[in-house]
Amino acid sequence: MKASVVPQDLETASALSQAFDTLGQVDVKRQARRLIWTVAEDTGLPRYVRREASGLDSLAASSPDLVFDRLEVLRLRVLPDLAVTPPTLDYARCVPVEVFWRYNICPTRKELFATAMDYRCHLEALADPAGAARDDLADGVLVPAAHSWLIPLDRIRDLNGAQIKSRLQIDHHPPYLVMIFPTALMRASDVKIREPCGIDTIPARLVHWMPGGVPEERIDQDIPVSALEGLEWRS
Amino acid sequence: MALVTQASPEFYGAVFGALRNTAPRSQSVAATLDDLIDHLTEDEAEQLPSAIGEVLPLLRADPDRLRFAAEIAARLDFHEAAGAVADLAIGISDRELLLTGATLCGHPAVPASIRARVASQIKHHPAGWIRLDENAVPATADQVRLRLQRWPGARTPDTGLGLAPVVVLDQAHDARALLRMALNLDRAGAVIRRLPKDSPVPFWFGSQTVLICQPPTRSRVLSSYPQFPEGQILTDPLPTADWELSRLLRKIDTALPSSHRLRLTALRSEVPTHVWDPEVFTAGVYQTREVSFLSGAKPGILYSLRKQGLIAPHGSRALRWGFATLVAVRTWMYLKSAAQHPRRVSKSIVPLLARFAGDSEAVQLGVTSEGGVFVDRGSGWVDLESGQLTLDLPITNVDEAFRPFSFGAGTTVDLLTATPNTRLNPTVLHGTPYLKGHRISAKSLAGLNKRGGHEAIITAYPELQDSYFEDTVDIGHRLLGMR
Repeated sequence: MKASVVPQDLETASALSQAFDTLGQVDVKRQARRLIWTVAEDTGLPRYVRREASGLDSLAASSPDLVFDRLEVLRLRVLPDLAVTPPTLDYARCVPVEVFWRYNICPTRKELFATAMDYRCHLEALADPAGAARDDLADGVLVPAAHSWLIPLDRIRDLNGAQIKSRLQIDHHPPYLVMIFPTALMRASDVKIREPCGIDTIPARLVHWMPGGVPEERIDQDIPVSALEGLEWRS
Repeated sequence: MALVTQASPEFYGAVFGALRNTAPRSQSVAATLDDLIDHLTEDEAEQLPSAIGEVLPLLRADPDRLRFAAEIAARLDFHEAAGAVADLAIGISDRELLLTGATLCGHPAVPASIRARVASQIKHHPAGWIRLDENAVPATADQVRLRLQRWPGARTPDTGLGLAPVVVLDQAHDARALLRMALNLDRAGAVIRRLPKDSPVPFWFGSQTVLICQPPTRSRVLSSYPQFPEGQILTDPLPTADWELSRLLRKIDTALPSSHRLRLTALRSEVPTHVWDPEVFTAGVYQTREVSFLSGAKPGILYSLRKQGLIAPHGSRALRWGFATLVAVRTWMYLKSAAQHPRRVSKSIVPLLARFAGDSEAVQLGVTSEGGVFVDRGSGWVDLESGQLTLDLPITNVDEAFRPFSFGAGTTVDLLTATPNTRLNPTVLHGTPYLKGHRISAKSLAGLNKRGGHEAIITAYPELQDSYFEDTVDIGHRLLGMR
């Protein structure tokens, strides 16, 4: 058997990952720098946050992974200071079927589909794919806080899948499952929201996000299944 | 078997870097591997599946990305990673990962010892057992469906509904081209199975799959599986250019049984910026020289079209043209280049396309050499002017005009991807070609290069220190008329 040339500890691996740049593939340094700028240039954030973020710039070239870690620490420190309010509109979240299969269906259902593609084909063949997907939902947290990007329902109410892809700049192709969160259910589930800001791009490394890029989007806490009224299918 | 050199630590670092920087909640499998594959050598591409297996243990502390990496391996049928996935799953007692391992271990090229390790863990688990063993007997309707997903050889023409099409790729093909093809098939909704060069023809072959292979593999398959429909074996070489890929995908789609079709509308990656969207199609500001270079029409032709009132510039003193005009002129030039009698290609498509305001529901746009312009919103071609549904007309997809084509003694570049590092998006930098991943125009790079060479570019844009951009500089020179 061929001996592995891969170091078996993460610290060495971190150094290895920097070799990535030299191949010009996924540029982690550039990614780190963009995240720093996104935070540092967000005038909606407290000045100390922006200053701390820009202070990481010198690290981006030598230790981009450290930048990601420190930005995450900064994010967790800042989060409690950001003002949240109860929602006053109905909101929605558009989830590609692939992501829905990966995170939202209960394990006993998920194991019956070999891949996300198989799950999508299964749903597409049904008369009521959204209803079937609803039945497959796992209990508990539907959307964790770090990924709880929401859009007012009115803004996507009449859009088809292609239009949603374009409007919300989603990487995956349609179909999408649209999670509907009415104001009353969100309030009853104690969900509070706020405008997204630069630090919200850190967990998923959303380097292309810009303030106001998707107007009126909101983000905040873990959203439980109890806040969900239903799912809609957009192909 | 081709001799493969030992991959460098940097290569493994690159693969690890790609996997540890994934965003499973927002990124598709195809997008995750796209950039990586673009930069692999043939040897590296050959070793990518094993390399993913090798670096997986490094993701142990990040279960979300670990599962995503294993999912990538399963989606692309990287059976070489089966051992690593299985061992990790057993080591950290991760049931979901174990099922992915079982999926990978169902491949006949996986050593029996690895399969036995997984089998010992899923002994009483039907969903795992069905993935692993083609002879497992399903007990429920859901399990029957899972079996049909995993073992397409068990499918019949009546069992197609709700199952993804399966395309088998011959590993005797060039590894890079094979990976590129696999990603495009994944985007189009197909399940990928890879057929190793020397393995026996496995059970999962069935009349409901399409095989893309080299001629010797075709003979091998037909000799061991004579009833396999010959029409479903395609021996086309795997293309590298996007437009050739698209053509092959359409051919695969035609060869697939009617109940298992690809989603070709998802393949508008040829036109990734959603160009028909009104906000995109009506954007862009180009000088005459740029339109000339990008459309293949000499400036004199543009002036002539303007004089005839067929196209209108944005301004009257310094002529500026929109992206719609560029597409209109280029499409007309493309039709002329492809026509037996170029003079007979009607000019009337030029004003129709140039004045087209975009359509956010359009899946594709089509033209005929007689001057008809059509839009497809997903349910067939509709005449843009009359709104009538059109059947049986020789409509040319405007996407084709976005690809490189030859005219006279010249050749145009791909409109949206002029070179591997050059992109054009009408809404970015007013539509001028730019360096991929940056907001730096090709013309700026060429201007700097002319004044101070490579150093001048690095001084102005230090972030390009380790990047390759010479191809974009070349496009810039050509846009400026310096070459």
